Amino acid sequence: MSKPVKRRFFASAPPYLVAVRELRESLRAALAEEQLPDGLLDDLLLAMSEIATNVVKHASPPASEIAVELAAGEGEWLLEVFSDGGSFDEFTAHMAASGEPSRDGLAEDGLGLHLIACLFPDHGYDPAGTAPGSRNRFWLSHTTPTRAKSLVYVVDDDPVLCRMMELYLDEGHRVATFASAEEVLTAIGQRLPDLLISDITMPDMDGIELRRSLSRASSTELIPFVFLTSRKDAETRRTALSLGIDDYLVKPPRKADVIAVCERVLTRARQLRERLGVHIEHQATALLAPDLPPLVRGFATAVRSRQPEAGGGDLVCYFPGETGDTLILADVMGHGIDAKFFAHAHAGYLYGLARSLPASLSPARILSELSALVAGDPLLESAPITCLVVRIADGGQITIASAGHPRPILWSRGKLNFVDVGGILPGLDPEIQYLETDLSLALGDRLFLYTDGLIDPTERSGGAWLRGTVLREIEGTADHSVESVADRIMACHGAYWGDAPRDDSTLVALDFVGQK
Amino acid sequence: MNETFRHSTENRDGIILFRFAGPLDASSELRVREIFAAGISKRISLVVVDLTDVGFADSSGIGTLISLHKRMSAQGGQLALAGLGGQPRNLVALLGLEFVVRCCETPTEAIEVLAGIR
Repeated sequence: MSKPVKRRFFASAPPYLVAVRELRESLRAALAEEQLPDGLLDDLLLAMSEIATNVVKHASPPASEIAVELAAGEGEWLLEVFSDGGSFDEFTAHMAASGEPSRDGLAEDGLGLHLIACLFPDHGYDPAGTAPGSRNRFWLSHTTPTRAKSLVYVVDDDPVLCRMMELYLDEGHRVATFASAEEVLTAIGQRLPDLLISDITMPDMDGIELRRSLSRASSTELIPFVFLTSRKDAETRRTALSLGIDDYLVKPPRKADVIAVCERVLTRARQLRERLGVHIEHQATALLAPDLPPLVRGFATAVRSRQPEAGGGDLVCYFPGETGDTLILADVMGHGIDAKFFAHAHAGYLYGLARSLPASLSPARILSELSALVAGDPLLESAPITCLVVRIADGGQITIASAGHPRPILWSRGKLNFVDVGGILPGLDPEIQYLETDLSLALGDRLFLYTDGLIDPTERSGGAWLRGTVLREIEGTADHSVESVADRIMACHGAYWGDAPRDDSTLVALDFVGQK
Repeated sequence: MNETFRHSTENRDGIILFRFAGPLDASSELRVREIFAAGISKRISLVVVDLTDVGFADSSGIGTLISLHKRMSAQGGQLALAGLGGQPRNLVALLGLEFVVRCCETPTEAIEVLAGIR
């Protein structure tokens, strides 16, 4: 990555373990006033300690000084640790090998390097060169997920006004200006803006004709539109407002008015889009809409899902049976519309599979059949999925089989555990026999199934915070309804990702309340 | 928050309670290992480590707890951690250690839990 411009911290220390602690505490003090995302400060301090400790313990010949530098810019953080002394030739290979967490957390060797790899996937090591004064450099970076800036097009034949609008909207928006309606129409053909601000009086095509032109095409009719004009006469105003525009600014506009109007129009458009999106999603993708009956064989259920774009690659299928009901949670890898398409394709397969197979078929056999189907279908093979099949029977009896899916979390008798169940992805081996895990839940026990967008432990910095927070929510809300727990878990997820989740996230919470 | 490292060891009816304050890191690692070695005999099977006043832990510090857990398991005993909060708690969660080593809110609770399984 390019280096963020603003340096926030620089300090150096002799190579002693006590000095590493002092370096850490001075870094903590320097960042005390900074608005760092939750957990990032702790992660940076930990990573700095691990790297510096490594230098103190292992550099050969020993280093004479360790220097730490932290730079920051627009949501980006870059931590660098410089040292003289011997370099670690095998460091990069060691880091690559340590990216995988130990399953039971009990590996002591390489734990520090593993932690860095886990918390900061963006990291690297540059050994010192042969030039005098050259130092070894270990770096790691973090980018905070942020909401994308709104794209605003401004069209006006007055270049001074265009420049003024650029300056007014510089913060929080990306502004592109155009001198004529024709120019902006060409730009709209290539990329739709979030908001268009247009002058009315322009040579050739005027603003009113521009608005009419956009209204005629379904792809552009909903672009939020604001007129900006010096014409204050009632007739112009009436004509403009009759075109269904979103607002009207009078020249010369004041900065506060421009910002207020833009924010109001953009917020309203976003809210409308969200409502519309929910509506369309609900109508058009009922097959994928994750939904379960509120009570399944004595389990109160709650299903929540969060998707970065309309659609998405998670799916929940439910098939009632005579002796037990079957629940399938799958995550089609990939993002956006492609993942959604493949989720549909996989859902079709799963429903077809369920109809063609005996209802009593075990979860492991369902996965084996799915694996064989995927292996024989080049289309589905190109979209890997992870899949969890859960059979829910009376009396709190649950059987689970997993194909590469994150392990479910079990809250049972006051203790949290990850359910020990695993298997390879479907389609990799058509002959695979999956293993099953049986659980017997008591009243009040809860089982949480989820896709990897929810609490991926190997997420970049903050993932540990998210995972810990989710687990604490489960622990701390044992007396709440399962609906409320599910809402709180999704709120943790929302707090972490803001409006920019990276991946689809689905949560299925099952609370054994017993048959009434 | 440049704390110095402090510790105490108590024997509560056969359950050893170690209390630490300050950072559990590379600079305190050797001291912690010595404290564990001095405080635990082969006859001791139940140990509580109180981390209420530990504000920072790194891999060296966590490594001492993992070693202790392995030692206690090897001699048929059990370790419980108490009072984890803030960064040390997140680190323990990140490593999945809470599913291997029993974690309690307070040392009193940890002692009660261990006394119950004796």
